[in-house]
Amino acid sequence: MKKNSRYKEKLVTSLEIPEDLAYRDAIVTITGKHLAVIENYRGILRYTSDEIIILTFRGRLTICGKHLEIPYFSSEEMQIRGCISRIFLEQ
Amino acid sequence: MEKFLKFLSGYVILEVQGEQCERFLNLCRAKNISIRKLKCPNPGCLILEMHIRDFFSLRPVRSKTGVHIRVIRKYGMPFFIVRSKKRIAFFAGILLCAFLILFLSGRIWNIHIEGNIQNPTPDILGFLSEQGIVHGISKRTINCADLAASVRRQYPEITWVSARIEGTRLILTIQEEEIPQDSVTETETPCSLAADVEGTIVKIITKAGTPQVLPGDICKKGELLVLGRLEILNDSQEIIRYEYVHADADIYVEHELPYYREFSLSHEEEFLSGDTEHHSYIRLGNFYLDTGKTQKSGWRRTAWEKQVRLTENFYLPIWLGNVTFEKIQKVTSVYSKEEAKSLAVKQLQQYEEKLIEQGMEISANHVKIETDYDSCTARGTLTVIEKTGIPVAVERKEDEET
Repeated sequence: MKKNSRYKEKLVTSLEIPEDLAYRDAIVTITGKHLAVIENYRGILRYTSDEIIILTFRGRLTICGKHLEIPYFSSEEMQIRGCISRIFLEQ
Repeated sequence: MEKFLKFLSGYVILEVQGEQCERFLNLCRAKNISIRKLKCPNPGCLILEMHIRDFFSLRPVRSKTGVHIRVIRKYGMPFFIVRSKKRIAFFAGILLCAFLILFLSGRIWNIHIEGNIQNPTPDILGFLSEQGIVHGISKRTINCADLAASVRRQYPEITWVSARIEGTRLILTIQEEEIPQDSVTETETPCSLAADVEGTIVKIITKAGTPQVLPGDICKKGELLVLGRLEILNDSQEIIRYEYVHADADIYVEHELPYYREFSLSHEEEFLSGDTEHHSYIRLGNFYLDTGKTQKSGWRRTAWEKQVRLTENFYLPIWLGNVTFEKIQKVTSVYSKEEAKSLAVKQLQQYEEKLIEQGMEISANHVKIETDYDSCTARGTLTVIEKTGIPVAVERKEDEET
């Protein structure tokens, strides 16, 4: 298994494929403290106005804050607006 | 633009309540249902916005998750049409308006003419109306090339015409040829110069022709001043032939002009008392819609009138006017001797200014002002210097050969 992942890593590096495409990594773009855009996610595990837990392909992404809203939510990406205080990843 | 498209397609604001709200969102995502403005006011309650077509595909999601969906508000054109089913006149008005815009935009509502100096715009507009080009004509019936050619044919001094249609405007751009002065033909015609006034020659500068008088000479009206015939002499100073030219000279004649003015010392003065009255009117052709009297004795009437126009040259037969009446008071008074003298001097100055405007030079003033008990009289003469010389036919002579 480890061998396979090493080959994959080598292939990705040699072909210069973006890692987010190759490993389906989530992309989190944060603008200031009020806006975050998340791409490559699997779904929402929990949504309240203080906390949003998002399931990605490599674990969970938790966004904490206040008055959190989702102005845009589609299969491709989602936008989170509000007073963001913490973002952390869990494996 | 996005908002407009959203309005056209229609959207709803929903309230979703239940224990599996997150699952509801994930299933929406899986079904490619796009959600906007998602809020969570309370745990287990979501407020969101979605398109109508997505709303109708929510049934399986709702049955799977068991959430309760409530429509809070509906926005957009489809809902507006449903709500406005009874307002047929409103929609008929919109349709009529669209039809009118379509119909009216296919016509010419402004004829703009630029570049014309010698030919006034009303003249050209008159010619265009003779050709059937009037305000309100359909754009399709206008052939710009033919129109430009017909304008060129009608006005020979127009060297270049461009006719083009921009929107609902017909624009005619004109270039005119500068008409050369007829001096060429004038100078080619042989003539002599004769005096048109009687007086003493002050100065004579001959440019063409043979002068017949000298400064200091007295000339009579009609007397020949410059002859338009040149004598060509041979070496023995004998005339071999005559050459005829257009005589040209600056000839100044001094003569006297009689002056007489008399006015009565008692006179009637008119002044405005300050009382004014205004009223407006509308004129439709020759029919007046007036709100007040048109004449009042003892009042001065001033009026302005403006013709209503839709575009630059598209005038309607409607005029808007305003009439102002100012009350006049008449008082009879008598001039004092000083006042009468100054008035007479003023009248004389005005007369002198008029003469100067006519190109005369005043060299002497022999006017006396006298005032008796009931009138003031200014009489005398003004000595003026003015340019003279009118062309007359030159007398032809047979060439003499020696």
